[in-house]
Amino acid sequence: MFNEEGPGEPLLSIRGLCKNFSPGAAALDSVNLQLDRGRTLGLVGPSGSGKSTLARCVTFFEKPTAGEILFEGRALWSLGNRERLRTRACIQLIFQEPAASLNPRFTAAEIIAEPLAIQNRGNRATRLERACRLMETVGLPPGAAAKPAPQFSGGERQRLAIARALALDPKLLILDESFSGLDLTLQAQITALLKDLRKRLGVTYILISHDLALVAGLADEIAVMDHGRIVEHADTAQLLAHPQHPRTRELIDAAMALELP
Amino acid sequence: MKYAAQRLVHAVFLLLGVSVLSFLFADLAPGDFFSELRLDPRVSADTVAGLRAQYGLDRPLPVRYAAWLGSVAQGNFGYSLAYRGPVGPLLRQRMRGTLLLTATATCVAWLLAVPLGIWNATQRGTWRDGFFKFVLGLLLSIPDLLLAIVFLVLAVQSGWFPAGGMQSLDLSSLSPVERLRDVVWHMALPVAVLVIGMLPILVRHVRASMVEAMNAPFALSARAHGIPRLRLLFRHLLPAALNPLISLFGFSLGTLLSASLLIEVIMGWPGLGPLFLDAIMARDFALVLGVVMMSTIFLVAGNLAADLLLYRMDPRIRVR
Repeated sequence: MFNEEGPGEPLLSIRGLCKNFSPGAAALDSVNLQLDRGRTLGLVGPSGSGKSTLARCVTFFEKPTAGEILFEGRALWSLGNRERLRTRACIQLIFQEPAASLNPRFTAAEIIAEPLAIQNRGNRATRLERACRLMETVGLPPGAAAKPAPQFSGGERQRLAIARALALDPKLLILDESFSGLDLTLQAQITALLKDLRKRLGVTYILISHDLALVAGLADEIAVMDHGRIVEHADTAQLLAHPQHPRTRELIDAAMALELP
Repeated sequence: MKYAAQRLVHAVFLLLGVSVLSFLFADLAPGDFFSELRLDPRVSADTVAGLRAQYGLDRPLPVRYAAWLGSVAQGNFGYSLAYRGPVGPLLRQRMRGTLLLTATATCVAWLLAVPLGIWNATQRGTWRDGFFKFVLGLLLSIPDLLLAIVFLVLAVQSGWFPAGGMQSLDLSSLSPVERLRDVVWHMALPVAVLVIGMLPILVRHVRASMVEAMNAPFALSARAHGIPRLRLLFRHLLPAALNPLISLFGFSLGTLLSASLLIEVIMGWPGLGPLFLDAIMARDFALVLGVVMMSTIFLVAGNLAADLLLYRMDPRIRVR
């Protein structure tokens, strides 16, 4: 793979992004954000601070009220239909409840192959083969390919959702509170999996969570959101050592309180 | 296969239960076929008692029930005192008319309801949705009875449609194609009444299941992959919306049948409806029971078919 834009161009660049669901109530209030290739960004903040809305704007679910989102230098919301379809494949979102986002009527292999079919890649046989390889990648036994989704455990479904997102070779993977429902052992397993994938495939991540501790272990840099704005954005180590904004300090305190005394 | 057998056994027990209850309730009702005779001063009480004994009406309830069950096993469904013959052939002859009406109405109603409901679901939140909701509510609030009468009046006034019956008198002189046209022409009004009565309910259900499927997270994730609308509809949304609709299908068969009995009486359709009414008026117990059992069999068969269809369509039910 070669980069047409060169290393200087950020993968994702958001300028003055605003989103109002109803007049006067801003879910996003002129958000600016830049993310370079291969980096992992932790997006933290209390509930209702606009994290998910930001993710939904980047993944074409919500049309921004104002501002621009540039992906590889091109404005997302002015793409034509075909370009848009291609770009959707490059940006994948894993939902708050990945388990519910799997069609209960499909088998594991069908779930992973479906995005490939939607994007018209390969034929049935190659798609199924790729699905099986992806199941291996995320640590699912390939023998489970024919099992329907509801028969998998919570952690396995999480892996299934990740495998499906990876099927399209995304450049940017957004995980929206995807670990919140998992127990600590599973969280650790999925974290290890994400680290491994980052090393092998060079995926850029945005990890959204209200739990700073969860994100800090993975993220290179962290952006703190509050009331639709990004109030602080710095490298992880620096942000933890020298928090500038009171909201950041609150989040750090909350994370510390959970550690054993 | 095991599942099918299990459901079938359920259905048989259900039918037995209904027959026992019908028997009990009919027995509780005052009078029998010969009660009217007592009013006639020329007929002595002894004669009436003799007639009752002759037809076995004086025997205790369990004995009569057992005799009836035996008759059912032979396909006779008891003996009709008014028609002086077994009930079975009567039912079979009239069942054809009712089945023709109900099956046609069910097909038409569903063929209209599914596309309308889907369209309605995609229009959610627009003025069209609101307007459509209003029209459906209006249709729903018109009683079938009134609708049937209005249609009849219109048919008589305009002369476009026949006002009753199933076929023209000169049927034997017509070619097969003309005969078919003749029956369709006679069927049009009763079927229209049944369809209009059922349609609003079906459309609302289709719309609700579709909206629910559209909001499901897996539909959202499919959209995140850039799925085209039609593929989303046919591969993800419709299968997800199907389960409640299949159950509703079985239920709609039964509802349509009972609506059909009423409409048949009003619109003069030679089905089970008029037969049922006559049987009740004459206190022809075996015939009443026969029609009740036929309706129940129909309802149970509809639900059984829906269950089996669900089983085939949804892998999750098989897993359990």
